[in-house]
Amino acid sequence: MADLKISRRQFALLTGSGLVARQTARAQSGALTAGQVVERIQKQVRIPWNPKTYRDTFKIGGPEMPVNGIVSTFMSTLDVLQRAVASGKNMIVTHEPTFWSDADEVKDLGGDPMYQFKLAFAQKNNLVVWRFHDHWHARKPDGIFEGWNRALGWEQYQAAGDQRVWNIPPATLESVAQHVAKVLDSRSVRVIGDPQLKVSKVGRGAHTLAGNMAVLPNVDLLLVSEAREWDSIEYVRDAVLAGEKKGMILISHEAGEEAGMDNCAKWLRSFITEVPVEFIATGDAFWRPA
Amino acid sequence: MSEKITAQQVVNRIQKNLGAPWRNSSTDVFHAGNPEAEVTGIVTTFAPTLDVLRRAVAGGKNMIISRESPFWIREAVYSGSGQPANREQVAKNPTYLFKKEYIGQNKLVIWQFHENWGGRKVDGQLRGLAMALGWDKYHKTAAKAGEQRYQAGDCFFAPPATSLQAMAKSIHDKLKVRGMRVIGDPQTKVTKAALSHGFFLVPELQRILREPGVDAVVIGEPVEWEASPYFMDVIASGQKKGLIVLGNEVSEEPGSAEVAAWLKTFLSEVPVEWISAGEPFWSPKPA
Repeated sequence: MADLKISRRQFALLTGSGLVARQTARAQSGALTAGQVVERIQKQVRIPWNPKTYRDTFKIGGPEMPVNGIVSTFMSTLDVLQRAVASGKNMIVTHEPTFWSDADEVKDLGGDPMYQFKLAFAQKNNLVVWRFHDHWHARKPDGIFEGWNRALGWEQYQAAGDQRVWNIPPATLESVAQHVAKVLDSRSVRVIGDPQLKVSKVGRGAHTLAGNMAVLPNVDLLLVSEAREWDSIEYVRDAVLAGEKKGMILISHEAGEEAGMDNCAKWLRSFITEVPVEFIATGDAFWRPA
Repeated sequence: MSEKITAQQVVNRIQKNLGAPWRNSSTDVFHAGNPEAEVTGIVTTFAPTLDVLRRAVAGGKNMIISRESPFWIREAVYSGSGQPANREQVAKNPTYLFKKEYIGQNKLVIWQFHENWGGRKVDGQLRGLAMALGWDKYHKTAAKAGEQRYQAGDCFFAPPATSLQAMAKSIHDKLKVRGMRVIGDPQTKVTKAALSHGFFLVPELQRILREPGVDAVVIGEPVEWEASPYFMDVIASGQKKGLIVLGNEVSEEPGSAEVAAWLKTFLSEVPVEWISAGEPFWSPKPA
């Protein structure tokens, strides 16, 4: 195994060629490796793999590690890692970061007690964590939205050719917010606008002001999963105060994408049969006091 | 009769009284109006929303000093939040055009006061929030005798022992927060709390958690792939702690009252009033 000790950076550079997967396959002869799982994902996602992605890379462990079961999840929180271990699965396919920054930058985390705790837990349990973000979104259709739209129950209202716009039967802003909270099992839904406003055309927004400003003028209701409060939120508030008949439903990042990783587990099962594949919900950690 | 003062003179007075070197900043600039206009009155606020502007006009005050920008853009864009807003995009936006016209018609002058306010020795936003919570009496200050309290990081409090749920409910009722969010076991015992305001990033959380005995952390706005999951991991590692998320406006608005009180100590020509922008959100009742 010594000859397979390569850095994550090297692996990221090599994956496009398939070299790693061939090496790992030869080394393990029989056992499915994390590198083989990744290579199959790269083939099945059916879009060109971006060799420069810093997101869709190994975060803990590497391609040489044997896999005895796969967990897909929204975010590889410590709780999810613990539940994966309890269910006897050692490969985590996570949509979001492991070490609390978009690039999973760990150079300043060496002395951080949570980093040490999480890494030690993962290593002790032979966990391998690989992120699947950019390419799952870039897939056609977007794998997150495919699952999320189904969870929302709005597939039949989806606008032609746009996974991010829906024409729903007219309903009040309040009732739509209640529906969203219920089907996404979220306790942290926040809303801007008149509760009695009738809405019909719904658009999914973004984390950014630019993304939300591109959508709001064209819809009655902006549905956003996490946005910065000093820009997007104040923009929407001003739109309502300006007299525009608009509303916004703000859900947690988790509620906006979790169902897309349940969808990912289903998709993985269609081409990985050697080991069990399970979706573990990260869950909405937020609750409200009243 | 009081003397006349222009908006630029107000800013000059602020610079002179800051008590810290003035830094050129992308936030602390005039975003709208004529700096040479004579000021009829000053309104301080978290965000100069259309509602705040209308109330300023109704009160006969034409200068707004706000923590956030009227047109929602921060030049210093947080790296994890993607691309900055495109100014051309904003300039064509109907809400922007409406707001700009309202500001012009009413000859309002809007000046942002953010970075330099934060450069003062005392963290006015922290002090304001502590006062609004009624927590000043619980302050476990790091200040030595003769030093000013509420300097950056002087943020720990020892309220009477309570539970996370009871503390959250108490803050909820006191500040009337509709969109508060909490992470942690509601029964977590709390004897020591840390207070933060505004945007909350991982380095601040790491610093707070190095303080022994902190069971509750009260903050403004976390990034949901950064500080809040870090906190979830702290809990999953077996530590009994809770995170109370107030929302950015709720956590920062009391600081705008501090700005108003401070301005009054060196501006007597015109009335100064704090107008709360109010929390932007409401939360739906379960269906």
